[in-house]
Amino acid sequence: MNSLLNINNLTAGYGYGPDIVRDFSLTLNKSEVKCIIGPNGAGKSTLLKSIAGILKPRSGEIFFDGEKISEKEAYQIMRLGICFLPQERAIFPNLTVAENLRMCAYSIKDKKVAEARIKEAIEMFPVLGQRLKQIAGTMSGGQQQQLVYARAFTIKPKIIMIDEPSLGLAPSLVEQTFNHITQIASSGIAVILVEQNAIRGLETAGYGVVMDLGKLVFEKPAKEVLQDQSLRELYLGKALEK
Amino acid sequence: MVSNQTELIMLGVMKILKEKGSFLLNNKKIIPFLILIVLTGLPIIQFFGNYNYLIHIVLFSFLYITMSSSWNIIGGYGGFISLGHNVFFGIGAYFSGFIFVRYGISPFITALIAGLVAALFGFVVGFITLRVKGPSYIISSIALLMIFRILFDRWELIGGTHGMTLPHNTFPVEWSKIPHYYALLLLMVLSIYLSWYIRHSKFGLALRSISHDEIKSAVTGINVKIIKVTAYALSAYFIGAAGAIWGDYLTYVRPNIFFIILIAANMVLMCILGGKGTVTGPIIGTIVMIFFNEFILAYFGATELNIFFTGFLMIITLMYFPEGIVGSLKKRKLLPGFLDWG
Amino acid sequence: MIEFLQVLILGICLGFVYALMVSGLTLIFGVMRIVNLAHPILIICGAFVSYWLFILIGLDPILSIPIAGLVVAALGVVIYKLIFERNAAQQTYSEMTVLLTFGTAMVIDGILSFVFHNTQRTTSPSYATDAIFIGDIFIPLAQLYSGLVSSVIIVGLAVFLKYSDFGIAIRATSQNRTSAELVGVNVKFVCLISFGIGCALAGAAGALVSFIFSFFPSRHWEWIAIMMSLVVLGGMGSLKGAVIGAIVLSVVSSMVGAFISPAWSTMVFFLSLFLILIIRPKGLFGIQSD
Ligand SMILES: Nc1ncnc2c1ncn2[C@@H]1O[C@H](COP(=O)(O)OP(=O)(O)O)[C@@H](O)[C@H]1O
Ligand SMILES: [Mg+2]
Repeated sequence: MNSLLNINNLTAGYGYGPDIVRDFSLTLNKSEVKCIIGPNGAGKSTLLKSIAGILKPRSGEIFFDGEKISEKEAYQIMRLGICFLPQERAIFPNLTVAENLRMCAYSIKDKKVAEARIKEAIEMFPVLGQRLKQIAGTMSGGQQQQLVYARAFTIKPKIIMIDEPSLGLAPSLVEQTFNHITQIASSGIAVILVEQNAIRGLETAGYGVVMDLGKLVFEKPAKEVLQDQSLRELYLGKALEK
Repeated sequence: MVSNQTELIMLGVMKILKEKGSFLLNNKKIIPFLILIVLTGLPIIQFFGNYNYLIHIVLFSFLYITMSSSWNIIGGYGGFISLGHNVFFGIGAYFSGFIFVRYGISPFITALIAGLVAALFGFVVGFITLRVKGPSYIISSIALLMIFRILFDRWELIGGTHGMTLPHNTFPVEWSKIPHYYALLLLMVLSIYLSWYIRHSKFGLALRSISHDEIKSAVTGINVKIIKVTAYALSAYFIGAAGAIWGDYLTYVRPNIFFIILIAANMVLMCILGGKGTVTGPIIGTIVMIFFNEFILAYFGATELNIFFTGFLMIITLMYFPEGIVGSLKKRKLLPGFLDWG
Repeated sequence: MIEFLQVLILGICLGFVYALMVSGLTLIFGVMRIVNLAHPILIICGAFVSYWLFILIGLDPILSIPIAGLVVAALGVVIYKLIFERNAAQQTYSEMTVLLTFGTAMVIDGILSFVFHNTQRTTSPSYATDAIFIGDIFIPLAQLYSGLVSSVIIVGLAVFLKYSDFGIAIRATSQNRTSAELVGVNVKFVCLISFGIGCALAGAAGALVSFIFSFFPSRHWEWIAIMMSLVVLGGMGSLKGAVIGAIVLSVVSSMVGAFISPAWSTMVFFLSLFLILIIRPKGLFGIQSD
């Protein structure tokens, strides 16, 4: 119970539909990076959504820092320190970059701290500083990606969950994105990464978690997963083909 | 001993009654047929006294069943919620009314042509408006109604805001409503038949598929545009014809009687209350609404409260049983067979 | 030329009042995707508040704006809690919510008509019948004041939405509810407050309406389509669009009324509403509606 995040026997699904995530348990320690891989439709995004509180779990419990969060609202969970970057680019396309950054810092009640954090984020991503007045949706994909990751540095959450960061990105941008993620991880933030590009994801992570049909198949140090030939064929191969 | 035997006989009789009863309730034809016979014979009561109020309520129900069943074709099966459907009511009334005033030809003769005019008009309007869906469509239908209201208010040939006064029929007072009674009864039966027919036809299937997803329907080879527009025109037909009869019944046609949104709101509510997209829903919804309205009127005596209760009923229905009476009963398998026409 | 200028100025003044009338409507739509057909009757509620304050204690309708706003906002919050909270959570642009608001409009209309009857009313502060001349241009004070007050309120609203944290959160929520929640916005609260603000704006508009139009409960049916035309022209959900739409249509309709016939002036609204919905359902400037 001393880990940062404890997921116990989580089951979740949409509306009256079937269970998508089934009896799933996972723990995450401080500063740990875990990469969840698995075929399309395995329920990875659904898992992240139910941790973030966007989707209410059907059963099971989630504890964060010893506090039960599985019944809290998404904004409360976020304010506790779990930041979720969903699959769709999570910026506000019609707001300016400056306004987007202000929204990133919305949960920080101390105005001075908020401003300082925004400054920090801008120092990290100078491009954003040059484009504060621009409507975010009109920036290039790479710039928007920077805006997404600026959030991590503004909020400084304890955990960040990232869903398919490389999906639909040009190869050069994938590299940039993984650099951001490494940067986040090295600043001491625990990361749950869901990635189709399994090799790249596992290289970034400490642990590999394989998920299929909503269930946990196994969890191993990422290096072992990468080296195990049979696993590579079974899961990584499948994932790579996609 | 004796009492025991009577008890047994009683039980037997009860059992037979119960079986026959459930047979009756579940047969699709017998009860509606009986109701139709009763309604056809109902005016006989005028021989025994003046039951004008009863006749009025019944024929008023015919009118609204005709209208809500027709609305149901495009609103229920087709999914286009129109809050301006009474433009066809007005068009029918004005067409026949004008001919009556000008050429002395009774609306009873021209009603079916008035329906045709309304349908033709519906075809044109449908062609223009049915390209938008959802809330935008609802708002555009309100706009249409407002446009018509102004046009008819300003059109001096047909009397502007004062409208036209039509000649009375010369029957004694207890018989004066009877022609309207039978005309509206006929229109009601025909419109229910049309609704039933569409519900069980390929056309209706296509229409309901369009209501779910226009693009997918188009992909499966349905001519979406033609089907939508035809359904719209069909739904205008009996509303127009009923408008012609209603104008004659009121003996005047006037924009502020025919082109008010409350008429459309009533059609919509009757359908939703009864269960839109079902054949019998609009019928049940209309009957419930009319009795409800009469009750309010008798009990509170204020027409303003009718608006209040109509709105209230609409909110309650939408919030707690959006499938309406028939739809909800059907879902719980409680709907007697004679009401289950699909 | 003088007449033209005069009609233009009056049209613009009235346009600002219209803009205030629809600002709440467009705000509520933006955040919750609720097309609130009860908005016009809420304006009439505000007008009644001002009317009775004027009749009973002689309070100037312009001064009663805050009270009318608060009363209607409170009413709006109650309505929201009872009826819309469930739908607002989904943020779907659905027919069902339109019919719900329609039903709500009927309920309020029924109550107001029952209590106050459908007699025409206006408040008549001293300036209601006064006018000033700028050169040869004749400007009734009622229109001038109501236009000025409206524009002040609208600018205030715009500043609030543009610069305050809560205002930005409102705009963020209207763009993407989930994303807003994921940066820590209490979306339910934002919806409730936005609905309240929207209704407060309706109440404020009602106070002005009470002395520039004659009002009665069932007048809102006509206003529904008029107000929808203003927001649809500018694109639903956008405040800027609503202001532009309101001023443009108000001027055009004033021109039609002055130079063609007053009988046709409201036709401008209905016709443009109809045509825009049919030709460009998203509105001419709008990008926010979906
Ligand atoms: N919003 C939703 N509503 C209903 N079903 C959904 C929704 N999102 C995803 N699903 C279903 O959940 C299953 C798992 O989806 P997801 O969690 O996105 O998988 P993954 O991210 O692993 O590819 C899929 O079968 C998908 O159809
Ligand atoms: Mg996914």
